[in-house]
Amino acid sequence: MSNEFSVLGRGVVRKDAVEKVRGEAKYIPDIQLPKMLHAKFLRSPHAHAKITSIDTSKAEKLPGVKCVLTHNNVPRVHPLRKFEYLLDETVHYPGEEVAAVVALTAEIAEEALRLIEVKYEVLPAVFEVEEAMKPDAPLVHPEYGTNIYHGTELVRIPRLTEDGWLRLEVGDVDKGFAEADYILDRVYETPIQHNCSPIPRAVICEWTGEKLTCWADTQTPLFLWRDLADSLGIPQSNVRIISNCAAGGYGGKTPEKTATLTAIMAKRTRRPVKTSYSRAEDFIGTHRRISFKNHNKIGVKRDGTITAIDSKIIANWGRDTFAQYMVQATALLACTMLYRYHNSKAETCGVMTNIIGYGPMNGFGGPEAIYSIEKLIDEAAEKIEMDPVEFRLENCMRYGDRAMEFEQVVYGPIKWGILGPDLNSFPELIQKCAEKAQWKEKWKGWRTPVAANGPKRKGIGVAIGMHHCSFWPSSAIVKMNQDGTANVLSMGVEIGQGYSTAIAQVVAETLGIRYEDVNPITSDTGVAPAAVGNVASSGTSSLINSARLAAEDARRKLFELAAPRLNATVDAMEARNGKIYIKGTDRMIPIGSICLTHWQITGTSNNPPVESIRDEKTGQVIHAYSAAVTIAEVEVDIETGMVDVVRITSGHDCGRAINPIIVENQIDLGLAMSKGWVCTERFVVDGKTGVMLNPNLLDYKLITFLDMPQSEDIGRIIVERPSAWGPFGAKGMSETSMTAFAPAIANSIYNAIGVRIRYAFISPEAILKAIEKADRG
Amino acid sequence: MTINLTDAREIEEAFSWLNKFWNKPTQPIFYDAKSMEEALSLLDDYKEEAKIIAGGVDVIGLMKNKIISPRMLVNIKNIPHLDYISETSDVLDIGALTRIQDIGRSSLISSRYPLLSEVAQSVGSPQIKNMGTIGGNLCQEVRCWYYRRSPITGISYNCRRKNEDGICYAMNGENENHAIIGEGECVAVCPSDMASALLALDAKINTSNPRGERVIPIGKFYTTFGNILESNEIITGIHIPKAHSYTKQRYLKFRVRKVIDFSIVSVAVVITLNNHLIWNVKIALGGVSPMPYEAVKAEEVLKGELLTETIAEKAAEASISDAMPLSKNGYKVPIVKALVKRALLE
Repeated sequence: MSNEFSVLGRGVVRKDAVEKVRGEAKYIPDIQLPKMLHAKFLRSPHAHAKITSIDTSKAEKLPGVKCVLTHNNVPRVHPLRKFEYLLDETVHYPGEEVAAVVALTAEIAEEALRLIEVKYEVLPAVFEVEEAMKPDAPLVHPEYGTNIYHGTELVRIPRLTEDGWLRLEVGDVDKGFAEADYILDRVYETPIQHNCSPIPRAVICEWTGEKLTCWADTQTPLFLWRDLADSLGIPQSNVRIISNCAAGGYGGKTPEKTATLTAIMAKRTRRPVKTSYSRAEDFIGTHRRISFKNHNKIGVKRDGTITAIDSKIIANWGRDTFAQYMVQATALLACTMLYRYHNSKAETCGVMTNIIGYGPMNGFGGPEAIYSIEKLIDEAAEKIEMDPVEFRLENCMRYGDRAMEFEQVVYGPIKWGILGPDLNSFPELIQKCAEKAQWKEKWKGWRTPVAANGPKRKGIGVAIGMHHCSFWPSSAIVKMNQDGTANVLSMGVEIGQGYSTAIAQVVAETLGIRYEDVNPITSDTGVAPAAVGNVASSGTSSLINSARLAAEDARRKLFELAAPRLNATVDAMEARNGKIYIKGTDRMIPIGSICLTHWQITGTSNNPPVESIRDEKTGQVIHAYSAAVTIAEVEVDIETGMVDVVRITSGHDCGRAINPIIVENQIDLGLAMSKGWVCTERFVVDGKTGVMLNPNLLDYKLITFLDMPQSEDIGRIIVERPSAWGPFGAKGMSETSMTAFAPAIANSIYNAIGVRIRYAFISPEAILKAIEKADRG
Repeated sequence: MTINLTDAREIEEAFSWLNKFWNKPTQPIFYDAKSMEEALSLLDDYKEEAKIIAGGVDVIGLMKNKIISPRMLVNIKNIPHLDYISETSDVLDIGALTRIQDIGRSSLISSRYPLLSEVAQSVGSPQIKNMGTIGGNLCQEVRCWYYRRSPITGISYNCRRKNEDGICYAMNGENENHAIIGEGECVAVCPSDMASALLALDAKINTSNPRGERVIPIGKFYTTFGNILESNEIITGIHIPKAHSYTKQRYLKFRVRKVIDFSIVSVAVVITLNNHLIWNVKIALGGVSPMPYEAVKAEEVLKGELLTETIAEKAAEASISDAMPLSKNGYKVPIVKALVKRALLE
């Protein structure tokens, strides 16, 4: 890092470190309000059933019980524009809420649940997409008439075709396949994963008069704000969401109807109410990563040209979702953009089943698509006997290639722009990773392991990945304090990823004040201006960018006020060390003295529209994407099927590393989450009942530190090519970080054992099965 | 958090209401037994409605998931003289309250009974090793996800293990972790690796009950439905014949993660050589059966033979020749074979 910055590019002490280490940070379960009550939910044991009767009289008689909710006494609204109601007389998956009890203690509420008598008429249910797509399949929502989602009165998906498919097409794939020397046609699957936050979801609601305050563990306070106001039928001015200490959501801490139900209970009892999920409830009663069945077809020429690619993705939605088709839009872009295909087509449909619904999770469709694409690309490179690193280097996306905003895939109209010069990072990353991983020395050719020692086979493999880091509307306020320090008001959420640290670094750098003198006031809808929240890796590229603009606005105001006092023009000034200087001189005035005499100086901002960011050379609109490369080395025990990831080299492109330590943390997270996703975190759904069988952290196997490679065996490469937008050229990289790990692990396993595993999950069982099948020929 | 008086009174009322309604206290009585006599007499009074608690690692989980709801919890952790590791001329004695951590760290055990040391070190996590006792480890309930499912989630399985009329849901369900050998009424596996290690070491379990004491060979301690302890019986110690100086011991555990997880398969081998020939051998398998399983056929293959790769492979094959895998756990068979072979040769 050059010395051009004073705060940027440094691994400063995180803003939230001390309070979290000391236990002073207040997560939702830590908050205790006077007279607070506790809520618990009764859940359906059935995958699909109609409630024929529900008797709550005994529960209501239990002393300490203050309110019981069932479908009979809650408003009939669709939270988050989903199919579901707050509480419904039909349940659609095992785990759906049937009733809620609020009581003086959580124990009493839980005891009360046992006193509620429910009679069900069990209805036919379906769990697998193939079954659900058959014409005579049981319907998840019988009134809807089909299991293939095509929108509702509340949710319009303009680009969806009548048969329920969402498509994205470039060039002519038929022509492309006709030009190919080889065509490969493969089916892959991706597994379900659960977000598994360190703290299960929790919410507290309290009414004061007509005003509702909601302490929520969410990464999208704006969405929750809108949804609470809509569902309760009250103006947003009467709702305040505070989410300033959320706990790792990995995409999943999005609004739940739980907040609305909790608000209703708080209103009926006129006391604050807390809902705090158990680990098991968090597993079975929220949502999970989408799962795909990918049918991929690729055409290649002997010279390494990809002539066409065609991807067909069928997604298992489970009972419902609020992110209708957005995840698949990301997947379609990943399928059509990752390489420089001239002819590409991708299509997808969402199929509803009677298992838990899906929601956003780190990567949002990208890793799911790329896990399959990158295995296919490897197979194609093998077909033409080309080195897989070289094949990717030749074909990977870069500056000037087509790009667009992912929402357009759903909402249209499709307006292709391009990838900016920053995306020339891709070939650079591939080369740097190959060098650091000693690819040339280790790669012994296709179907040849790096080394063999008894039953242990060492393999090496590569994969690349990408993700959009959206440039979204966002605002921020920089409020100068009277001593020259600053508060920055932002709707972004500190959810453990380092948001409050990065925003403070950017604001301090822009204002020329100390990092310690910036106080981020985050995610309080009572004070923070509108922004989407921390989704789609946009926290840095969109939200912190608006903070930079607000800081620039404040700085401009400071300069204007300083100008007459320094007897200079605004252009001649610069801010550093907490002072405003006339450039190149010692003449200065402390920012604090301007702030004290001018009472309140406030900078505000709105991000400029996407279309305004154009490439200097071509004049075309630039879209923000970031790139990732992983080379994995594994050791596979071919007698037991055990896979050990022994070494990882991973390169990431983030435009500008505002805080390099946080960037490295995100790389490690991507590795841990990817390895868990495809190797250990099996989400076990009972084939007969649709029940998730392992809702605990013993049976659902999050990987531990010991299951990661040693830290010195993780090579983390950061390439900084500033993008045309984002604060100081920074882009989002957290979701990108997840995209390349899983396929690189899969491809290195192939190199080790010589058998491709196209199943979703690389368990010892899957490895043994694949080896056995290969041995049988 | 301060609770106002009205609420406090109402909370009390709630629990007395519940006790009356269910005709049973919602919370068990926790009794701190000071002596073995006191503990046994309480167990005798409450019979099936009492549970023993020492480290609490397993019993608390079962209570939280409402798999058991005892009226009485008898804490035996403060009974003196049950926490020891001692070796006499012909036997190693371990007190029932000896923590897994202490077994894993004992230099006596690591030098003379490395098998036990390896097992102890592989148990759960440091927290669990610090709390759990060897007696508790042997008495653990199975980890079957149907059996353990908490009704608090709205879903529970009144399975064969809980109820004679119940069915085994794993038998034709998600049985990847379940038994590949056994009678089949309940296919959950014994979760205790300590049990397989003790089986390989020919250990005996000493118990106390109001009528006196019993010595139970570890091979007779378990049935398909759990251990054979009476409701008024407490393990007091483990008795292990002194290891022969020509004895080699090996323990291998296969699991998905390197810590925390229970075994998918584990193998404990104790082998005594005489003039390079196998004079005596014990092979115990964990994770394959409702009880720790002695691979007798493999032992027969080995006895009197020279320990070579060929004979080890033959023994590995024989070790699991009685396996009848369920729909989703056939993968355990090759893993057992690999582990047996390695345990013999490594």
